[in-house]
Formats: sequence, structure tokens, C-alpha cells
Amino acid sequence: MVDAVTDHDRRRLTILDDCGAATVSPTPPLATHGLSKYYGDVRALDDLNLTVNRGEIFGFLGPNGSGKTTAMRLVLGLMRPSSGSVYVFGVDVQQDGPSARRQVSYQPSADAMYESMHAGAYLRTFACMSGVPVKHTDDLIERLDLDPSRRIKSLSAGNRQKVAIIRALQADVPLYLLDEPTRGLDPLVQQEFGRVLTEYRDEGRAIFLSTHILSEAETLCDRVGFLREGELVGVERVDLLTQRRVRRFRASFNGAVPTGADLNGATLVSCGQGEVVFEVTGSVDSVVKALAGFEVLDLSIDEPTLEEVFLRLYHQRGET
Amino acid sequence: MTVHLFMHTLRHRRLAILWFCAGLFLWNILVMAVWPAYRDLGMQNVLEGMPDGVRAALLGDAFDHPEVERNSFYTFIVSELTAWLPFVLAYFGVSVGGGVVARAYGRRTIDLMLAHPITRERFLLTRFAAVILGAVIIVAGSLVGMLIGVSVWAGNTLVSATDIVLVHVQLLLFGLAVAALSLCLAAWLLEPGRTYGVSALIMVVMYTLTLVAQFVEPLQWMGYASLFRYWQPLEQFTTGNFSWAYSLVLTGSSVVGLALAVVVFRRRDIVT
Repeated sequence: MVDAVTDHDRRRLTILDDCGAATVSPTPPLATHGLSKYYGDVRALDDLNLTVNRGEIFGFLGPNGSGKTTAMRLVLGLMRPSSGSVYVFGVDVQQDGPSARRQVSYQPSADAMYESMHAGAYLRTFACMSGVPVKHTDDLIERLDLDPSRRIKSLSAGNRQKVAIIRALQADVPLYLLDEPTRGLDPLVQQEFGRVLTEYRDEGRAIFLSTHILSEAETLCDRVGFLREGELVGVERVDLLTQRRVRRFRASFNGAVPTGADLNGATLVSCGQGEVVFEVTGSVDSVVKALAGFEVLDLSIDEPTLEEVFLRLYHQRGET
Repeated sequence: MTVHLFMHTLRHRRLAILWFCAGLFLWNILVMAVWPAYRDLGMQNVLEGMPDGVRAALLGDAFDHPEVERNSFYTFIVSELTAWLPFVLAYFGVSVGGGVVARAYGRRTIDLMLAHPITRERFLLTRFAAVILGAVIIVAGSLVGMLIGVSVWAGNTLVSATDIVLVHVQLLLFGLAVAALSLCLAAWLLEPGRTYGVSALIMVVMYTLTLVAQFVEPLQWMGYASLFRYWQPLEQFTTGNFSWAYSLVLTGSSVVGLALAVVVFRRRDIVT
């Protein structure tokens, strides 16, 4: 379908890049334009404009109910948008859903299984039904450590999630939509899953995954978009996000307490009764070294919520 | 892909189809095996002792049919067998026909199915094709059971095999009409509980309309609004005339129901 895109389509695919400049993208795997979904007066998604590029893992971040799954359903044509459009490799999903979906493999967040089937049979069944080429199944089963001979109803939540992931990733397509893929996976499997995604990305595939865990997005993604109450707050590169990340430290001291000047680059929030609260943006190396000069009784670090990270970032941008 | 979806649908309803088929086969055999004993009981007296309403509910107008000997084999077969068959097919139609969408929605597997490169029309029609095959298998089970039962236990009563086959053709059309109606409701309501509930309610209303139309002459026209009205096995058995008009109504109901289901489902948001 990529070759079949006309000049007219290319003009329609003119998008704004992250800096706001207009660029022409040659059929990105996924592009949404003014995509909105309303249920009566309730806003599920509002004016979503984003692109996912080839060879990229794009993380869609946001709290539960922020519209991540709605966006994915709109991409797949499971729902009709109230306004706007979705293009998958230049194909309008509303105009030609089957052609668009031929390029996509989807892993829903909901637990959609046939309980009485064996995991292996389930994977084979969907491999046949998907209508797209399949590869890697055995490799994925081995790497994610799944026993395909077990019935799905006897599997733990984590193993069921493995089945769902393998079902989606076994499809040999250029775009994957993964809705909270790591839910219930143990850390080792999460790591392996991350390696698989990285390999897929390096092969030039695009991966669009949703999550509400910032650390997961940091580990897996190249870019992230933050969604709040149906609205895309912003899109950011992960390395930039990490650099600007603010952590809140709470430290108790025996004896001398550091002042703001002692804490290199940190912002003092409060100080009193041997306890200091301060915030650090980006690297914490210099602050940790500065603390070494004091007798620290206790130290805790509060991870900011996703919303805080994004709001702080975009608030700062607004000020500048 | 369509073939895989068709096979997948059949595979997942194979137990329902198998049990319906085996159940009807055995039930027909069992009922026919009872016929000799029933015949010797003198059921005429039993029937006359029944309240009018109960007798009409069981036999329809068969009791007063001039061409039917009251204590005949036909009366027996209508009251004990064919009176129940449409309920079984109605149950099948609601559970399997509506389940084509509602069950997948309830299990949340509908997301996965529709995320494949398939149009919603093709999805629905492919799955309904599997329902048709399932209904054919079930009706075939009933047909074979009745043919065997008649050949073994009917004695001197002449029953045409063609009539039995045509009665089952009507039965199949009735089942598919119910399935299409339930599928239409499923496409609209999606949720299995609501789909099965509303479908069952409509079936009850339709059956009630049939009864009311039988009892109250001025309201006879109401009977035509019920699918049960178009299932007339006794007429087939006694006259040997296949009711093309009724069969056409049942077929038309299936086509309209299916077309409506497609139209509704095409525009339906899938939110599991």
C-alpha cells in the first residue's frame, strides 16, 4: 500500500514535527490528524495529532482513563472517530480498514483468551486467522519462557500476558500496537521483551505502545507522548525527558544540615529539624557527592508522577 | 482468512452443535419408541379431559382438524415431538446466532477478530455461514432420528419420508430466522446478557401472540407477527403440501435480519 500512495495523499500527510515546523513525511507507519472521539458530551480523545516513524518505539503515556486505549481502537477502526482521521502507511483507516490493518498487529490490554485452548493452539489459530504472515513464534515462545502445552485457563496472569504478547509479535508486520504490554510480567521477562522490541525496531518496524509506567517508557521507548483527559499534553524524546526529570529528595541529618548552596544544582524546598527536602533536575551525581560531606541518617527519593513530569516540562516551556 | 474464521467459529461452537444434534436425535428416537404404548392407552380420553387452553397450547388447532383422526399418529407426533422442536431451534438460534457477536464481545475476543484485515460485513457473514452449517447439522440429527423412529415404530401408519424432510426444512428456516433476529440484536446491543435476554423476551412475546391469535378470532392477524406462526408441521404431514409462502416468510426474515445486522454492525463502536 505504501507504493500506492498518491501525491494527493502525501499532501494530506503533511504534518507538524515536534518543533512545530511543517514537514512532509513519506507515509509514516502511523499518523493521526485532529483525531477526536466524544461520547455525547464526554470527551474520550480530543484533537490528537501525532506520527509514529519507522524504526521507532513510541510510548503513549497517561493515567488510566486518559484515552490511550480509545486512541488505539480508533487506529484499528474498532471505533469511528467523531472527527479527524487515522492513516496507517498512508491508508485512511476509515476508507480502507482491511488494507490498513494488514500492516498492523494489535495486542489489547483486555484479557481476550479462549480459556479451554492450549497456549500453542491459541497462537496457531490466530496465526491462521490473522491473514498476515507469521514468523518468530517458536523463538518468542522460547525467549519469553512460555509453556505452549498448557491450557490458557491454567496459566497465571503473567503467562497469559506472554501469550497475548507472542500472539501480537508473531505477526510479520511493520507496525505493532501494544496496549500495556508488560502488565503482569516479571522483571526478567520484561527485560527480554524489551530486547525483542529493540530488535524489531532495529529491523525498521514501528511500535506504538501504551503504558502508565514512566520507568517502562524510559527503558523501552524512543519518544513518548503524554495523554491527559483525552488531550495530548506533549510529545518528547525520552533522553530529553530523562535529562529534565525532577526528583524530590528527603534527607535527615545528624548534626550539620546542608543549605541550598551546599547542594550543587538542587532546589531547596524545605528545611527544618534536621530534615531537608530538595529537588534535583537531571543527573543526581553532583548532589550525591555533596551529601557525602554530611552525616546522612535517612534518604528517600520520590519519583514524580508522569503527570508531574510532563506538566513541569510544559509549564517551563510556557514560561520561556 | 475467511475460511479460518469460518472453521474457528464452527470449532468453538462444536460442543453446542454436537449436543443439540445428539439431543434431538435421541429425543426423536425416544418419543417414537413411546408411540406403541401411547397408542394403546387410548389418548382420546386424556385429550378430551384436558382444559381447552392446555389442549390448544399443546396441539394448536390439530385437535379440531377435520382431516386428523384425534387419536392418530399425527396428533401424537405433533403434541409430543414437533410442538417442542421450534423451542429447541429458537434456543439454538438465540444462543448460537446471537452468540456470533455477543459471545465474542463478552469474552473480549471481538477486538482481536476485528483487528484483523477483514471487513465487518465479511466477519458477520462468515460467522453466520458457520451458524447455518451448525443449524443444518442439528436439524439433520432430528431428521435422522425421526426417520429411524418412524420406520421402526410407526407400524402400519404411512408417513412419507418426503414430508418428514420438508417439515425439517421448515424447521431449519425457522431456526435461521431466529438466529438472524438474535444476531441483529447482538449487533445492536453487543453485550451477551442483554442480547440473550431481549431475544428470549421477543421469542416469548411471539409465542404468546401465536396463542392469542389461536384463541381470539378477532386477533388472528396478530399471529402473523410471530415466527412460530410459520412452522406448520401438521399441515405438511396431513396434506403433504409444502407451504412455500411460509417458507418464504421465514427465509425473508432471515435475510432481512442478517442485512439489518450487517448495517448496524458496520457502524457500531466496539468498546469492550
